[in-house]
Amino acid sequence: MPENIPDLDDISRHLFAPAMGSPGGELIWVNVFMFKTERNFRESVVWRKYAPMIADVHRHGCAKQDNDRRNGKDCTYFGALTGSVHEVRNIRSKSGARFQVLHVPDEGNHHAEISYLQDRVLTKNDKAELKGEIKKRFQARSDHTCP
Amino acid sequence: MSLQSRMYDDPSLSSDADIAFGLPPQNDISSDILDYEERKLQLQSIIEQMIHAAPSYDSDPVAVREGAAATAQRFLQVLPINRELPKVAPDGEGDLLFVWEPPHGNCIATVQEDMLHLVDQPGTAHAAHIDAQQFTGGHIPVQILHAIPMR
Repeated sequence: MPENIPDLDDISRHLFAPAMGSPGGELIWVNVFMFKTERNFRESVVWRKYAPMIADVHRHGCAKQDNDRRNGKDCTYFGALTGSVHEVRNIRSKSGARFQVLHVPDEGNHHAEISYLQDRVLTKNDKAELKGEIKKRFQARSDHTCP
Repeated sequence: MSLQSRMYDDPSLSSDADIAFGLPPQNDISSDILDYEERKLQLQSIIEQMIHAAPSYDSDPVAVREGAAATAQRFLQVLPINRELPKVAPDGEGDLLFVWEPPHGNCIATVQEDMLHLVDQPGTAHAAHIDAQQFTGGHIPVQILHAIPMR
């Protein structure tokens, strides 16, 4: 059953090479948060209520890496970025467009999603500005190497 | 006009006045132009590859539409040499992003087929949206060109 995610909670975004960058290297931010059409403009994050320690976040990242590799995908989990729900919900484009953060427990209780709040028609510039701003809210990085 | 003819036909690149006003000597300017044009070609090549398979976080390739790619390549062709070159990325919706990040400017352009959008100074109190400017080649719309950082 989906729950309301409080503003004061934290969320973490998994990092996968090669698309998002490389361990210890610079991140390719436009790939960290892309909001693809194919995923209905949603990006997955870990709700820290159900993964309180960073080791818990990494455990989910390792599991996703294993699952993706089993499906033939080239990906290596190399860490996570953490930010606060409040900071993400507080981002505004010039015209007032913003994100929502929702609990989507279909992949486990820890699973949440960031997406555009559909309270208006978003322009290309709204989306570009929101994407440009979200990276500033995920500056706490924890690197990881899967065992 | 070819790169070579641009280098040799432009009298401003070989005049004594350049040196008198403290500009680099001709060889340095020529080298700078070559580097700039080489980086433009690299960007255009990257855009060409994105039509087939642009990178994406989940390893599922993101498609970039041919029309958007062609428009982005035309944009680079006519981008004046006194402007910074952008980083390029798919926007996840079939179009392309050109990104100028500090210290080399602060704006993001989205390129659709024959259409440009630009947000200048995103996330600041001075943010400005320039929406849906037609661009079929030739000249970059003035409003957009003015927002692109000088180098």
